[in-house]
Amino acid sequence: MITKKVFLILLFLILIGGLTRFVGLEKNPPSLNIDEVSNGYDAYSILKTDKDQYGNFLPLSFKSLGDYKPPVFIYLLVPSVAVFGLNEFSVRFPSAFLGTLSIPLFYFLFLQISKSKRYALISTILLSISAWHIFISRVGWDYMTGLFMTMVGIYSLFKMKEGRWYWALAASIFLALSVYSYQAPRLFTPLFILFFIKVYWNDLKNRKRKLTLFIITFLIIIIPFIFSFLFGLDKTRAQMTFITKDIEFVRNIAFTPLNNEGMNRFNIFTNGTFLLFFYWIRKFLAYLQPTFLFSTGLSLTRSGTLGLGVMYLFEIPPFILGLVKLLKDPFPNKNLIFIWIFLGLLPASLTQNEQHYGRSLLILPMVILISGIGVVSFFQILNNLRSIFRFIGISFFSILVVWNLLYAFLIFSVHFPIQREEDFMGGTKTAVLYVLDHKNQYDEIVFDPVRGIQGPYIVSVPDEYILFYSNYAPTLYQEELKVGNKSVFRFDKFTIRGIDWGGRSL
Amino acid sequence: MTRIRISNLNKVELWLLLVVITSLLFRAYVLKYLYPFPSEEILTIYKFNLWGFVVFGLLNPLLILVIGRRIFSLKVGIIAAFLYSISPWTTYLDVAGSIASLFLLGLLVGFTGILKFKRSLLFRVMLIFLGFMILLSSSDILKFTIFKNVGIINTVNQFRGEMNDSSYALLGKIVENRYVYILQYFSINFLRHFTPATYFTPENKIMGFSFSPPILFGFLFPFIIGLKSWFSLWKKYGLILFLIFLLFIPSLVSENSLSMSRLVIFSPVIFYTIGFGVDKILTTPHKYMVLLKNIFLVLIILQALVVLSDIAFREPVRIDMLRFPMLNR
Repeated sequence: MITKKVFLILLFLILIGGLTRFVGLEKNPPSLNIDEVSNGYDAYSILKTDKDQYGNFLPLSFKSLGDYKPPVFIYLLVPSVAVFGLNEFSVRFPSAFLGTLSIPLFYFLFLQISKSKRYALISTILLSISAWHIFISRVGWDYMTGLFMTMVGIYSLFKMKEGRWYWALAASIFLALSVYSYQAPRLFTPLFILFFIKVYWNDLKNRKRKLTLFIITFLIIIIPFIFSFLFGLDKTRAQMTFITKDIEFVRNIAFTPLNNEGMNRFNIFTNGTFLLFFYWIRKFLAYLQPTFLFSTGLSLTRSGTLGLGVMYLFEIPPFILGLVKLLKDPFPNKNLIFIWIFLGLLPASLTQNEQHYGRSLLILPMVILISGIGVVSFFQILNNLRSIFRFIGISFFSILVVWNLLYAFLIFSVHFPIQREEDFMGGTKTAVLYVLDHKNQYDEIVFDPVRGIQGPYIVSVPDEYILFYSNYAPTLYQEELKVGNKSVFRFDKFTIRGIDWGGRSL
Repeated sequence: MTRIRISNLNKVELWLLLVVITSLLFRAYVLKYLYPFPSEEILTIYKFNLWGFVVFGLLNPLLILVIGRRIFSLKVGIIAAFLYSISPWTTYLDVAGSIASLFLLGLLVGFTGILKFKRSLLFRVMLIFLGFMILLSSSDILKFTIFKNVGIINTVNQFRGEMNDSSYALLGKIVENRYVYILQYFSINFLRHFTPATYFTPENKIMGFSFSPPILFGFLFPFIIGLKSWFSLWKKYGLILFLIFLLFIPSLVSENSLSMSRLVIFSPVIFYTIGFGVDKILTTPHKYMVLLKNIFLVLIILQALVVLSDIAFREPVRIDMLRFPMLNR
C-alpha cells in the first residue's frame, strides 16, 4: 500500500514525466528516422492487411530494413496508428506512453530492491527528469518497449518470491516478451533469471511449484524465438552488429587481412581471437567512462563536442557517493545491483561501434538507483555539517541542478535538432511531400538515396518515406511487382537509384 | 678485487637484478621492432634511440624499488618496480626517450633525496639538486597547452552561434558560455584520470598509435584491493596522497587531455597500489581470493603473450600505416 503523500508525489512526477515525454513529440527529434518510418509503415500494413510490408502474415520478426526487428513494438504501434493515423505522433506514442508509465513502475521496482521509500522516491524523481529516459521515450524505436517489459518482468520476479502464483505467470510472460521486444534482453534476460535464481535460491527453494510454473511458461513462450534464432533470420541483427565487425578492431587492431599473410608464428596469439577478447574488455570498461556517463553519451550533438551524457553532470557526486555506500555499507540486494549492471552492459559491449545509449539502456534503472542512494547520502552528510556549510552545500547543489536542467533543455531544443538533423533524415519528409503533390505531372520520379553532407555514408531509404507519407496502400505494395536489385528499386512511379550529377557535389 | 657472484647476492640485490634485466629485455624487445623506423619521421619529441631505454629502463624501476622499500615494504617496492619494467606504457615512452620519462626520473631522484635514508646530508642534498635539475630540463611537460585545443574553441563558437540564432539567446548567454564549457571539459577530463579503462585498456593509445594496454588488465583486481590499503594509510601518508593529486595536473592541462605521456609521472602510484593489492592477495588464503588470483594470473599471462606477439607483428604495421600523425602528448 502506498500512502496518500507518496501517491500525490507520484502523480506529480507522472505529470512532469508526461510533459517532458509528450510535449512537441512530433517535432523533436527533428524528423522520423529510417527505423521509425519503417516501423510505422509495418504497423500500418499489419493494421490494414494482417501482413507486414513484405506480405508476411503476422510475423514474429519483421524484415523491415533487412535487420529483422523484434515484433512487440511494431504490434504496439498498430492501435496507435489506428487511433492517431500514420504520422509522427502515432509512431512515437507507444514509447512516450510506456516511458511515462515507467515512472510509477520504477518506483515500485526501486522500493522492492532498496526496501526504502526514501531511496525509491528520490530515484523516481531522478528517473522522471532523466535525459536518457526522456530521449528514449521520445523516439519510435524498440528500446523503451524492451526496457519496460524487462522491468515489469523483474518486478514480478521479485514479487514471485513472496507473493501469489500469478506473479510467476506475469514474470514469465513479461520477461519472455522482453526477448521479443529488443535485442539486448535476448542475452540479458536468460542470464539475469539464472543469477536471480542463484542469488535467491534460499527463498525460491521453498516455492518450487511457482518456480516451475515460471520456468515452463517462460520456455514455452520463447521456443518460437529460439527456433527462429537458430534456424531463421532472427539472428541477422546480432550478426550485423557483433563486435567482430567493429571497424576499429578490424582495421586498426587485428588487421584481419594480414592474418592470412604469414602472421602465424605464434599462432594462437596472433590470430586475433585473444585480441578480440581483450578488445571486448576495453569496450566493456569504456561504458564506465565519464565521457559516456556524463558528457556525450546520448550523442545528441556532433562527436568531439560537448553534449549530454546518459546522466546529468550534477549526478557525478551522488553517483560516486552511492557507489561508495553500496561498496562499504550493507544494502539490500546489493549483489544483484552489481550483477544487473554487469549483465546490462554485456550485450552492449559485444556489439560494434562506440558506446551506445540504446544498447546499454538496461542498466538505466540501476544507475539511477545508485544516484538516488547517493543523493540521500549527500543530504545526510550535509545534515551533519554546521548550518552555514549546510546552506552553502544545498545552495551550490541546487544551482548546479537548475543550471544542468536548463543546459539539457537547450541541448535538446536548440543544438540537437541542428546538429543531428541529418542522422534523423531531416528534409526527406519535405522532399517526399513535394513529390507526392506533383506526382501526377511526371511519368517517373527518381530518388537518389545518397543524401546530405555526410553522404554517401548515411543510409537513406526514400521508398519507406514515400510509403509512409503517402499512406501507400499496403495491399498494393505487397502485390506490386517491384523491379530492382541492390542499386535500383522501383514501385509505382518511383525509382530509387543513384543519379549521376555530372560531378556536382550535393 | 672481489668478483661479483650471483650466489653472493642477498635477496634484495637478486630482485634488483631480476627487475633490471626484465626491464632492459622488454625494452630491447620493443626497440627491436620499432627501431627500424627512422627517427626523423617522428616529431622531434620522440626519438627511438638507445639512451632512453637504457637510462630510464635502468634507473626508474631501481628508484621505484628503493622508494617503495623505504616507504612501504620490500615486497611492494619489488612488485611496483617489476610492474614498471613490464608495463607497455612506461616501456614505449622509455624507448622513445620521452621527456615525461625524464621528468619522472627527476621526480624519483628528488624524492629519494627527500626521504630520510641513513646517508650523509651532503648526499641527500646532491640528490635533491640533481632531481631538481632534471625536472627543470624536462619542465616542458608542465606547459599549460589546453587552450591550444582547437576542438574546444570550435565547439564554443559553434554552440554560441546556434544559440544566438535561436529564441533562447538570452538564456543561452547565462547557461552556456565559454567558462561553463571549459569547466565541463575540465571536470570530465579530470574524472577520466580515475577510471579503470584509462590504465588497464588501450582506451587512449600510447604515443598515438599503440594498442597495447598501459598496464595488463589482470592487474585491475589487485589494484582495486590495493586502493583500500591507501585509505588505511591515509593518516600516515595524508600529505603524500594529497601531493599525488598534483601529478595529474600536467596531463589535465595538456592540449589533448588526457595525455598518456604526461600521465606516466603518475604511474608509480598505480604500481605501488597494485603492489599493495598483490601483497594482500598473496597473504590472504580465503578461497574466493585464491580463485580470483588464479583467474587474474591466467589473464595476465595470456595478455602478456598477446601483447608480445602484437608488438612483434602488428605494432610495426600500425606505425607504418599511421606514420605518427598524432602524437599523444
